[in-house]
Amino acid sequence: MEEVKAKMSRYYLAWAKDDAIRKKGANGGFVTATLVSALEADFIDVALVVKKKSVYEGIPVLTNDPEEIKESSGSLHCVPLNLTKYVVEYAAKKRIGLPTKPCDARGIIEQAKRRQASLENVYMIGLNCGATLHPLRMREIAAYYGLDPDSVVREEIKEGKIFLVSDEEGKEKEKWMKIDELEEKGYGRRDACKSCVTKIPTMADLACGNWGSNDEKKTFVDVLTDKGETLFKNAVDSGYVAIEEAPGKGIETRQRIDAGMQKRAASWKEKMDALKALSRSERFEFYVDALKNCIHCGACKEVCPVCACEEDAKCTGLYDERDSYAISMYNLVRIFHLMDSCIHCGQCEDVCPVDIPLTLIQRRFSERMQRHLGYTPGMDVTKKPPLYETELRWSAEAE
Amino acid sequence: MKTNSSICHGCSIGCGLYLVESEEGEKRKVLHRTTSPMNEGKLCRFGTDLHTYYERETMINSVDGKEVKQDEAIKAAKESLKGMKPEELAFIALPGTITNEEIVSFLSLAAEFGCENVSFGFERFFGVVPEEAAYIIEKGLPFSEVDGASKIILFFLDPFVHYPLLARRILKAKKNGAKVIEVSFAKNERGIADETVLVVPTEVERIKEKKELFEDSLIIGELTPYTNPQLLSFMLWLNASTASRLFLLKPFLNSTGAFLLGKDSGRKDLFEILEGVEKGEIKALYLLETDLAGAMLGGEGVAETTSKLDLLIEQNAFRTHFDTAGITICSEPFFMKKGTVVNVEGRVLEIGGESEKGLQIMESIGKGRKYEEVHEEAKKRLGLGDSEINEFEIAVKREERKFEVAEPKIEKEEGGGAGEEYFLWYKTNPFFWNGIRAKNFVEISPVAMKELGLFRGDEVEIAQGEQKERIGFKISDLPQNLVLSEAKLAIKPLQGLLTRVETRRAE
Amino acid sequence: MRKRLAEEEWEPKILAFCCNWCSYAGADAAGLERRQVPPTIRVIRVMCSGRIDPAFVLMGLLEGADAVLVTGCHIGDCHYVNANYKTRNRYEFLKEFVDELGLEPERLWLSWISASEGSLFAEMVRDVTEKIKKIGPSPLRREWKK
Ligand SMILES: Cc1cc2nc3c(=O)[nH]c(=O)nc-3n(C[C@H](O)[C@H](O)[C@H](O)COP(=O)(O)OP(=O)(O)OC[C@H]3O[C@@H](n4cnc5c(N)ncnc54)[C@H](O)[C@@H]3O)c2cc1C
Ligand code: SF4
Ligand code: SF4
Ligand code: SF4
Ligand code: FES
Repeated sequence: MEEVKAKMSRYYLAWAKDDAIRKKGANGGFVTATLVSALEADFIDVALVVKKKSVYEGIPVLTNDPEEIKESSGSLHCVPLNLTKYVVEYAAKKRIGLPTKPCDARGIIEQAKRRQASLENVYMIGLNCGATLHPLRMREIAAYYGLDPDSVVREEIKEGKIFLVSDEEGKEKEKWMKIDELEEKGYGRRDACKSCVTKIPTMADLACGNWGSNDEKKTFVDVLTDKGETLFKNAVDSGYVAIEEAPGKGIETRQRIDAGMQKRAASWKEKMDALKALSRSERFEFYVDALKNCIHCGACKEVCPVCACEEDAKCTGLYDERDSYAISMYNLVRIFHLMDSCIHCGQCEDVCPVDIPLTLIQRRFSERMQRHLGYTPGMDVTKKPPLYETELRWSAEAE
Repeated sequence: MKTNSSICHGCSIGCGLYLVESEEGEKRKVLHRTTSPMNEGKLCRFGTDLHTYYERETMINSVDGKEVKQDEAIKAAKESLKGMKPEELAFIALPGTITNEEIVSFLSLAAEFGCENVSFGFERFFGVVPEEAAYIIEKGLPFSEVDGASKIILFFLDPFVHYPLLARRILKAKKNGAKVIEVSFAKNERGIADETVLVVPTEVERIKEKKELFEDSLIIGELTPYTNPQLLSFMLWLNASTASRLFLLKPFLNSTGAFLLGKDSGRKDLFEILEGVEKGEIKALYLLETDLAGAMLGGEGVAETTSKLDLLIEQNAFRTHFDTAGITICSEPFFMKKGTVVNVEGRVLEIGGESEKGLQIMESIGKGRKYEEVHEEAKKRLGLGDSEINEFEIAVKREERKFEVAEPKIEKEEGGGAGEEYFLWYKTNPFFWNGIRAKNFVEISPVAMKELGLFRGDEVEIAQGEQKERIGFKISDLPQNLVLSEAKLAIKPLQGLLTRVETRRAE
Repeated sequence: MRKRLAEEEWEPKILAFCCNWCSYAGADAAGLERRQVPPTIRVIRVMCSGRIDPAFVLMGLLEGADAVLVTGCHIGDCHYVNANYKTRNRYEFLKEFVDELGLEPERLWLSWISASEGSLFAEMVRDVTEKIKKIGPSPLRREWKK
């Protein structure tokens, strides 16, 4: 059995020793094996995982059954789900372990700042995240590949390509295309993901992914916190996980890919900013025009991973259906309240029944404020949301 | 935590969603289901709040106001139904929360007691629609047809209010280059239309002058039990005399199922049934998941009417607005049901639950068949064949046919009282039919506000004969004499499209 | 529509939130001393500038104010320890917000005014009125077709 050295290095390649877990896992089942071992060693009471229903569909599952955790291994790229609110609503008082994409982890940290969760109780096994796709957009890609969307049995994203495998009457067919190419044709990732610059979950306890790994069945693991170290050590010591030190080249590769992805995201952000070239009054028209379609369903608030308000909140309380304002109080207050805290995850836009470009709007308002403040939400639980501060500390850049 | 797939029963779109339950089955929450093709993970406010409607007080099993075991209530229902003459009986089900299987069972139950007075809420239109055009009221169209339309006519329909999930398809069509024209009493406040044909309430007929506008268009309208039959024949005439297609949305989820499955059964119009009750001709009523007093306009009047019955049987999951029912039988809430519905696009959808309780209640009163049997019969009658149910398929397709209708006339408004004259226009929405009063105000024009001497915070009184309602108001860009209501008021609409009402400042 | 209003001799509406202890007393003094405070001003008194929820400012704008003044005691003089620091913080957010929304920066002001600074208050209102007259009515203001 491998010994974890007394003083840990940070980067490892790791995989599940159990062959079944290793085979089913996305990259060797490290995440799954770690969750199972944490449950067994009583570090956590429950795990929150995403269980596959089909290639296009996965549902959040809160479980203390190791078998169910094992069943839920593998990466689902068509499940643009944020797990934050499930932690808050169903496991606030429990010790919980879960895989977190960067936006899951950031949401949980923002909730912790608002005292809706306690990080002591939450073990975040971070997953690097290149993107998620809307499942119906993935179906369109399948059709574009010439496959019957209903018969797609596997999907995979690697080396910047989307692979789909269909099984039509027992015959497997594999098709792939570069993401860049697909996106030029209007297919592809969610807008929020395209422009997301946080690809490695450095705010979580561990960061896992295939970047930097030299083997499809080994996960590159970055041990980030003491809690992460505890989890990791336990997974190794209990015999669930095998490890080797990450090769220096892998570390470099990972950094290089991350930097490249960030650059691409930044350029998407520029490209998708429909307001960039508008004058002040045109900007005003844009906002009034976009927000007038709001039917005040409240879904955007409900799903927002950083909003911690109950049903009776300021945005809902100050909104009166009888007002005939050019923009509703609901929308103005919500946008205002998220200026320091929006993590640009796009959950709100995903659920908006009238397709208001909420990610863009929230981003426009929040990004400039966050830049001035030198503050990035969801990264550090000790940093209070600036709107709650008595005195602001401005970023050097803003001065 | 349990995550179950489900369908929203708020309207005929049938949006897919998940209902998440805590272990104890208590705390429920709606999770958006991005994979459902009807709504792509989006929901209107009704859908977003769906879990709260499942928290209502559940129905009890009772006979003559006394709580009893379910078996006893069922037995009592069977006995009492047997004691009635067929022509004294009526069966009503507004098809909001009932499955195809339950419809089949409901129809055979009625037939078993020889009853030909069965209503699903839309029978008043049968006389208006020629046989060749029946498909238009029976079946809708896939939303992809909306996305791809080049010209869309919104016929007295505000998609944002009536069917919010349709609004995004129209916005999408616009992005694809469609021209949107609205025919309405008031301009859409969100400006979704490129062109507005503003109709003066007393001159609806003049739409005929604009007939050429309807060429090559997709006409989208709404069909509810309150739709004026003359307006329906008007839409049919526009459709028949131009190269256009007509798409009618309906408020009840399984309207299509009810239309198709109930085709060859003895049917009677809902309003005629109520008249029959009033006259004492109909003495017994079986209400399947239909809170009549909660759903209908002027609900108190409905409750008064039904109090004249000798026998009222209610089968429902939740308490209704009636407290006079002789026999109440508790069924399961919609999300727990095993079974299928057909949405307005023609998709056959599975509800996602396991329970057969509602079906079994009817089968215990009647024949006593198993779910599989009834399910097969429903599938056969819907023409579904053997293929597996797939939400991505439009299983119930419609074929456009040519038909003719005579040029309709819209009768002029009659009646109306003294005082200032206003026209009340009900704008229905998914809340409307579910016994919920979604809004507590009506909309009026700024001119009316001035004329009526209203200030912010005041209330208006709207009256039509004896019926009166006091309610708050909102200012909207409306024609001066229009009162627009998304709230259900204690005012029954008259025969016309609009109802003449008196409007004044409430003292 | 904005042009039509201008033709009708439009007068700006300026909403001022004043704290009870300083700026309201200042505004009051300005009135008492019959200094030239333009009639464009509408004052809402709050106990402390810290009570001015940013949402109040937004609502003021939606209700048709052409400019909103947030006022309070000088930094250090707040009667509730440090509440006006928070006011200043929120103002910074509001400033960014108003700018991004596409309103002119002249529609939002922050000013510390003591009880004895009535003239300062009057001057400020005059100044803001002039500036608003130049840029015209707020686009958030809704006028109804008559
Ligand atoms: C959407 C997505 C995008 C990714 N993109 C990259 C990338 O660009 N670069 C990179 O290096 N790594 C990426 N990863 C991480 C990588 O795919 C593996 O998850 C990681 O290497 C761990 O592998 P494993 O075998 O140890 O995990 P497993 O043992 O297979 O466990 C994976 C866990 O993730 C959960 N999960 C699956 N789908 C989701 C989801 N959509 N949201 C939240 N949790 C989910 C599963 O329930 C399971 O618990 C991504 C993962 C996901 C889910
Ligand atoms: S406002 Fe929207 S994009 Fe921002 S954090 Fe909330 S859900 Fe995500
Ligand atoms: S989700 Fe969209 S429609 Fe619903 S409240 Fe938010 S912005 Fe409005
Ligand atoms: S009421 Fe209709 S539109 Fe609204 S969520 Fe339910 S099915 Fe969808
Ligand atoms: S008391 Fe004047 S600002 Fe606080």
